[in-house]
Amino acid sequence: MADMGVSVSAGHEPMSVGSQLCTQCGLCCTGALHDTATAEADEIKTLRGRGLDVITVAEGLRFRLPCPCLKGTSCGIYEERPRVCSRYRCRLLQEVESATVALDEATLKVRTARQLFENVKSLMPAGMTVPQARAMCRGDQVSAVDPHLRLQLMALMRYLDLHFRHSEEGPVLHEEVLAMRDPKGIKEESHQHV
Amino acid sequence: MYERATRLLEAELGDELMTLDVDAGKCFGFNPVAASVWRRLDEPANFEQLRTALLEEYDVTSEQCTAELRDLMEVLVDHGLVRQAVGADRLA
Repeated sequence: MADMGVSVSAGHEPMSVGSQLCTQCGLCCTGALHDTATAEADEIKTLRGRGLDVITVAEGLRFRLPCPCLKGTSCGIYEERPRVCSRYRCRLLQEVESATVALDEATLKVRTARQLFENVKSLMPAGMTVPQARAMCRGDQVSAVDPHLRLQLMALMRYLDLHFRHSEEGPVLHEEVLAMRDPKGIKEESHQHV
Repeated sequence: MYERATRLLEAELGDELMTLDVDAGKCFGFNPVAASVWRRLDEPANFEQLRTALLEEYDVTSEQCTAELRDLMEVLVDHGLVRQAVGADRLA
């Protein structure tokens, strides 16, 4: 989803670190990180023409995720993607771009996240999206959710909270998790890496 | 002596563990230490056995280990995930 800084004619040039990471991921387009994304008024016609579901909510114009233009892990309308997609950078991408996290390490995290996402997908009924499954887990319908799906969804949300979502965004399903972390657990930094 | 009081569905998350108590309908996230303790309780264990294992696994003082393990066991018992067998040894 992020602007990867690749020009139309750059096909034979080395890919930027952002391009290398984002094209293996695509999770921000799947609805795994967010239920919706910001749309702008002058984009409505174009977005609807592309099959995006533009809605108006209290925060303003949004379009629902997953994005129907996602093809595999890449954007099918990259040159004409919504502006929010150009601007958005997940935490992991920012960390790679600032050299806080090495590309190899980030790639492993993307692979793990993709595997967790596939686990969730394999358990969802046909046609259900991650935002829909998440909504069920938040609401009165939670008892109707397959326990295995709920567990895998929680695992995915936890991993995305740890590595992909920005801390100011807050956890997606905070109320569902009782995290036994500090001060109830011995601090992780005291772990002996053996 | 401590033992598991419920059966949890588990999903590995690196060093962490995500679990679901199906009967209670609650999810629990275990950090690496809590996950280690939970795994050791696959079989009943007393406080000293758990403490000794953690001291071997982590670079932590005996006092810190005792205090934090005590807190953790209280949380596990409070949430019905672990119980103390009748006549069991008391918390250190």
